[in-house]
Amino acid sequence: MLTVATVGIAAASFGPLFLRGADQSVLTSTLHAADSSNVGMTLLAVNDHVTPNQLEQAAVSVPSVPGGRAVFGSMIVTASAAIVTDALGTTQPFAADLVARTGMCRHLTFVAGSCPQGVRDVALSERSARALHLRVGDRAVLAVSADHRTVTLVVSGLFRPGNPLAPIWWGQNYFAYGNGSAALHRLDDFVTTEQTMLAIPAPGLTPLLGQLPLNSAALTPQVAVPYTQVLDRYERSAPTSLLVDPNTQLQEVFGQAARDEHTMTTIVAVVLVQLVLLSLIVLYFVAARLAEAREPDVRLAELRGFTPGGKASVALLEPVCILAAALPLGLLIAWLAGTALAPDLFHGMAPGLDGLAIGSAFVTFAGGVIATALAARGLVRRPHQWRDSNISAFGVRPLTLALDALAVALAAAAFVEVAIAGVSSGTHTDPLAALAPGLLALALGIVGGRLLPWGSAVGVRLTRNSRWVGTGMATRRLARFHSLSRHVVVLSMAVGLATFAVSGWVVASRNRSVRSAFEVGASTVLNVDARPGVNFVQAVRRADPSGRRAMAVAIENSSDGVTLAVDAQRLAAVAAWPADLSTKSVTTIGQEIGRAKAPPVDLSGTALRVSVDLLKAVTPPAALQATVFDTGYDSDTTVNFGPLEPGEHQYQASAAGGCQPSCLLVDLSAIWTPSSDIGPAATADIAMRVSALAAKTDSGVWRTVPARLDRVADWQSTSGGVRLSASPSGLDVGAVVDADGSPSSFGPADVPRALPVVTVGQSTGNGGDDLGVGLDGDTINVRPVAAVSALPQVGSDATMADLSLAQRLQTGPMINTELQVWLSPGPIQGVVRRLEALGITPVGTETAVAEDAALARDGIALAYNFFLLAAIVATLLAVGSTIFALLTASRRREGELASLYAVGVGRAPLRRSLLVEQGLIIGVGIVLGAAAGIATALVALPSIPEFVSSAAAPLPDFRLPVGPVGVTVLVAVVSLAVAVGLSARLLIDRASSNRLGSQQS
Amino acid sequence: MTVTVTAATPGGVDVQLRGVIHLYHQEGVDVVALRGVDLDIAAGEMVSLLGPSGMGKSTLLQLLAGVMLPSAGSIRLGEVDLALLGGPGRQELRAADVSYIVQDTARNLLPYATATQNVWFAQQGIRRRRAAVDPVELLGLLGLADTAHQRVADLPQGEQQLVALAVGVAASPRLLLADEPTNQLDSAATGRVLSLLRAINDRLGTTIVVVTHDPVVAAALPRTVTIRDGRVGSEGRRGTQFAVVDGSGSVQLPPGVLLQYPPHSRLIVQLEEGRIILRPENPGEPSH
Repeated sequence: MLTVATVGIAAASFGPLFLRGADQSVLTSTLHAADSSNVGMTLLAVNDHVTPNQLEQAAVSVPSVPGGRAVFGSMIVTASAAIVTDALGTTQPFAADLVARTGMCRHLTFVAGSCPQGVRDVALSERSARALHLRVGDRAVLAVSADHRTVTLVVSGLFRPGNPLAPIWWGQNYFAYGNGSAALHRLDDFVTTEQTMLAIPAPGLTPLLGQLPLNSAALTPQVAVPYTQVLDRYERSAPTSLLVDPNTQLQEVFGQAARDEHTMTTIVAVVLVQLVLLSLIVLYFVAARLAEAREPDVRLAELRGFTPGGKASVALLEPVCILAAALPLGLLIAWLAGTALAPDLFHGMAPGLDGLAIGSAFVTFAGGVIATALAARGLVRRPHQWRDSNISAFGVRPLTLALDALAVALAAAAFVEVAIAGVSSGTHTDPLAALAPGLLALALGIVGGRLLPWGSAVGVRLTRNSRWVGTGMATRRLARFHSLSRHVVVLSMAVGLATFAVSGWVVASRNRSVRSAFEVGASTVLNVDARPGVNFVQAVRRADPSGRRAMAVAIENSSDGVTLAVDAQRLAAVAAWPADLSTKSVTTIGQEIGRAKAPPVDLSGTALRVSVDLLKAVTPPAALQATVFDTGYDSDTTVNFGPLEPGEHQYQASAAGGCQPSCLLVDLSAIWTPSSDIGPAATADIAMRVSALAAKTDSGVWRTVPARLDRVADWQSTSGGVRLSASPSGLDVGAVVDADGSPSSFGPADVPRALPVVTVGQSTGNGGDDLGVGLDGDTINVRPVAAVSALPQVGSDATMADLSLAQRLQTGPMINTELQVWLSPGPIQGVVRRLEALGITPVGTETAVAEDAALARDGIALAYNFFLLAAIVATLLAVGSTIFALLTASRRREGELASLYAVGVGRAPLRRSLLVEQGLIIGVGIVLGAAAGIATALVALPSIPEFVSSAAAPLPDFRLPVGPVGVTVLVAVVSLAVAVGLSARLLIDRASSNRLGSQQS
Repeated sequence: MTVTVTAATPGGVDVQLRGVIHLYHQEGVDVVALRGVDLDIAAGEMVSLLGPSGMGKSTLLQLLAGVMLPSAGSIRLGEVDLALLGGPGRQELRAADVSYIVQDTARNLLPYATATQNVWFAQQGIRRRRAAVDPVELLGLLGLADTAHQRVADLPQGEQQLVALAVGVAASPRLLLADEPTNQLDSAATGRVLSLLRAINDRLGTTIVVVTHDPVVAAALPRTVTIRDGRVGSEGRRGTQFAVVDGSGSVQLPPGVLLQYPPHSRLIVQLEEGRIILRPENPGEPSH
C-alpha cells in the first residue's frame, strides 16, 4: 500500500510541478521561436534632432521586471542616411543607405581591407564595389539625398553581403542590391562609423534607431501579466517624456505563450485527473483488501467492547499511517522526477515544489484517507457475523448494481461527448478529449467486472465433474466472490490510460517529426551566399553529382507572395515531402514543374558568333542582336552583331563580359530603324536562315553551341509575329518588322509561356493561367499543375516552381531572395566542402532535428510527454495493486490451500487454480483496457490539439502505432504475469500441511 | 495506572434467563435455535452448557455476551436487562463486565502480537473507566509468565488457549463466557485449561459459563446444564443428574427413558409419597 500511495501522491504533486516547469519552458520556447525583432524593443527617435545620449537615456529607462532584472540587453544603435552615387567614369546613378550600426562588422565577412574605424571610412559590399568600379583605398563621393550635400569617404574594406533574413539585422534589409528601378539602381548599404554619421548635419540623417534584444532569462510566466502592463505604460509615455517611439511585440508573444500554456494545462490537467482518479480507485481497493485482512482484528475489538472510534482506529490507523508516510515520500519522488527531467523538458530549469504541488499531494492524501474510510466503513459499522464465514461481497447488491449502471451510462455519454467534441463543434480540437480513455476504460471495466462472475458461472458448469480441478476451483471462486472481479476496473483503467498515452505520444512525436522536417524543408537546410558569377543551380549539382543529397533552392519574398524555386530534378530525393501532401506524387510534381519544351542554349564564352543566311535584302539593312542572360550576375546583356548583309555570313561580337562564366541565350532579334523620311508605317520583310551558333572559349577556340536549329519545336517567337520553320540546314525565320525599331525576336523554347507551378490550396481544374511573381520581382504568367495544403518551409500563400525555369524568366537580378541548399539525411561535411570550393558559402544552418527539438518544447508537446509519464505511472499502479491484492489474499488463503493440500489436491492444480483465477481477472482487465485505449486513440486523438501554431502544414497522421501499442500491452501482460506467477509460487510453497495446525483464518 | 490483583477479589454477577427464544433467518427459512430457555446462574458460579452440536449452546453464549438480542424472552445480568440496552450499552458491557472467548482459539488473539500485547489490547475498552491489571502481572498470576513476551502465533495450541483465557479476564470481567475452550486440545492441555478456569473462579470470583460437547469437561465443573432441542434438558450437580421443569411445566425425559417412551407417548403422571411416577396407561403395552 505504501508503494501505491506513494506513486499516487507523487503523480498528483508532479502534475502541478510539471506544469510549472512546462509553463516556463513554453514561455522560453515561444520567446526563442519568435522573431528577435518582434520580441526586442525598438526605440525610434521622434525626430532627427534626438542625440545618441538621449536615445541611451530612453534605453536605460526601459522598465525591468519585478526584482530589478533587466529584460532587454545592450542597445544596438543605427544611424543612416539615404545617399546617391555614380559609378566611376559613368553617369549611372546608384542609390543606397549609408549606415552606422553597433557591432555591424562582426557579422560581415570582409574579402578585402577591413571594417571602417575612423571618420570618413566606409566599407562596401563587393558587388556594390564592382558596380561602382571601386576598390579598397578609392574615394567614394556620396550625395546625401535629403540635402544634396556630398560626402567623400575612403573605401576601407569590401565585404560579402550577409543574409538579410538573419535575426541580427532585425528584419531590416541592408543588402538590397538589385532592387530599385532601371533609372536608379539599388546597391547594398554602405557601412561607416558612428562618428562619420554624426558629422552629417541634419536633415541628412534619418532619426536614430535603437534596438534592444530580449533577455529571455529574465522572464517567467508569473511576471508576464504585470510586466505587460508596465510596458504598455512605458510605450504610452515615452514619446513625450523621452522623445522616442518604443515598439515591441513582446506583449503579443506573451499572449501566444499564454494560449499555448492554457492548452497544455488543460490537457495535462485532464490526464492528471484521470491519473489521480485511478490512484484513488487503486487506493480504495487496496484499502478494502487491507480492511478485509484486518477484519479479525476489528472483530476482536468489537468482542472486547471497543467503542466505534476504537474499532475505526483498529481498522484505519495502519492504512492512514501508511498514507501519511507516503505523503513526504511522494513529494520527494515528484521533486526528484522534476529535477531529473528538467534538462530534457524544461530548458534545464528544475521546478521546485510550490504550494499547488504540495496542496495536490495533500488533496490526494485526503482522498486516500476518504477512500480508505469508505472501503472500511462496512467493516466498522456492520454487526459481525459470529457464524464462521469467509464470504465477502457474495452476490449482487441491487444498490451497487444501480450505481454501477449509472456510472457506466454517465461515462459512456461523457466519452461520446468529449471524444468527438472538437470535431463536431467545428473547432477541430478540444483538449478535453483527453478525458476519453479514462471514461471509456472505467465504463468497460465496470461492465467487465460485473460480467466476469457470470461468465465464470458458465465455467463452473463446464468444469463440473471434470478432471480440470484447478480451473474448476478458479471459476468457482470468481463466480462466488464477486469482489474479486472488481480488480478488473483498476486494470482496465490503468491499461486503457497507458495504451492511449503511448499512442498519443507516438502519434504526436511522429507528426512533430514530419512537421519539423516539413517546416525546415529537408533534413538540413543551409542558408548560403553565392559568389557573384556563380551559376547557383549548376554549382550545387556539381557539389552533389549523385543527385540525391543536395538541391538548390531560392525563396523570393515579395508583398505579392512567396515563390519557392527548387531544382525540380532533385525535389523527390531531397525535400521533406509527406506522402499525403498532394494527390500527385512528388516525383510527378517535380517532372511537371521542371518540364520545358527545349533545353536552354548555353552561350558561355568571351564572344558570340551567329551564322545567318539573309535570303532577302532589306534597305536599310536590319540589325542583328542577341539578348543573353548572365546566370551568375543575374543580368541581361545585349550583344549587337551589326547590320545583316544579304547572303550567308558569320556575325560575331564580344559578349562584353556578359557570358562568363555562363550565360543563356534569351533571344535573337532583327531590328530595323530606317530614317524618318520613310514614314512610320513602313515595314520590312525579313527572311533569313540561322544555321549555327558558336561561342568563343577562354582559350580562343570557337565551339559550336548545340542549339538544335533544325528542330522548329525547340524555338519560339518571343515578340510575336515571327514565322519559324526548320530544315536540316537551319532555322528559317520570317518576320515583318516595323520602322519604329521594335525588335522581331525569336528564341529557344526553353521557357514555357506560363511557368508551371504548384500552388497552395487552389484547384488546377480550370487550366487557365494565373499571375505570379518571378525571382526578379516581375509579374509573370504561371500555370498551376498541382495544389497542396502547404509547401515545405514557406507554408501557405506561396507557389513552387522549378528554379532553372524561373531563372530563365528573369530579366534582372533576384530581389528579396534567399538562397538555400537543402540536404537529405546523411553526413554533410563533404557536400559543404565542395559547395565552398565552388563559391557557395553557408552562412546559416537549420536542421529538422533542431526544429523537432524546438517543437518538442512547446506546450502541447510537453503535454504529450506527460501522457507518457502517465502511462508509466498507470502501469506501476496496475502492477502494484495486483501484487498487493495477491499478497493480502494469500494470508487469507493459506489455510484454505493447506487444507486442500492435506486432503490430496496436488500443488499443480492448486497453482493452476491461482493462475487461472488471476489470469482471468488480469486478462479481462487488459483486454478491456487495451480496447478502450485503442478505441479512444482512434476516436479522440484527432480532437486533441497537436500543434500550437495553426500554420499551413501537412495534415497530422493519426494512424494507430501498432508496434508501440503492442509493446505496451505486452509489458503489462508480462509484468502482471510475472507478479502473479511469483505470488502463486510463494503462496503454494507456504501452503503445506504443516500450516494446518497453526492456520489463521 | 495499574493495580495488583489480589486473590478473592469479588467479581461475579447473577445471570437470569426467562423464556429466551431465538430465531435465525437464513435464505428464506427461519431456524429456531432456542425454544424458551429458563436458566439461573448465581454470581461466582461455574456452569458448563453441555449438548451436541447445533443445540443452541453457542447461541446462548452470544446472547449472554450481548452480541445479539434474543427474538423473545429476557436476559438479566445482575440488575441489567440486556433487552433494554442499545448497542453502545452492550458494547460497554463487553468492555467492562462480560468477556466472551469464542470458539477457535486463534479468533480470540492477535497472532502477530505477544501475550502481553494481547492482554493490553483487550484492556483498551476499559482503560478510560477504571484501572486495569498489569498485563505481565496478570499473566504471572495465571501461571503464564513464561509466555508473556512470546508471539502468540509461535505458541503451541494449548498455550494459545491459556493466553486466550488470560485475555478473557484481562478487563476483570464479572462474567466469563468460554465457547469450547478445550476443543482440539489434548488431555494434558485440557487439564491445564480447566485448572486455569477454576483458578480464575477461585481467585477472581468471576461467574463462568463454559460451552462444551465433551461430558468429561462438563463433569469437571460443579454444575452442568444440558441443552437439548433449544431448551434446558437437564442439570447435573455434584454427580447427580436432574431433569428440569421449564416455565411451561415441561420436563425432558432422559435419553434412555425417551427411547422407551418416544415422543407422542401418553403417560400417567402420579405424585406419590414425594416421588413423581410416570407410567403408561397399560403397563406392558406401548401407549401411542
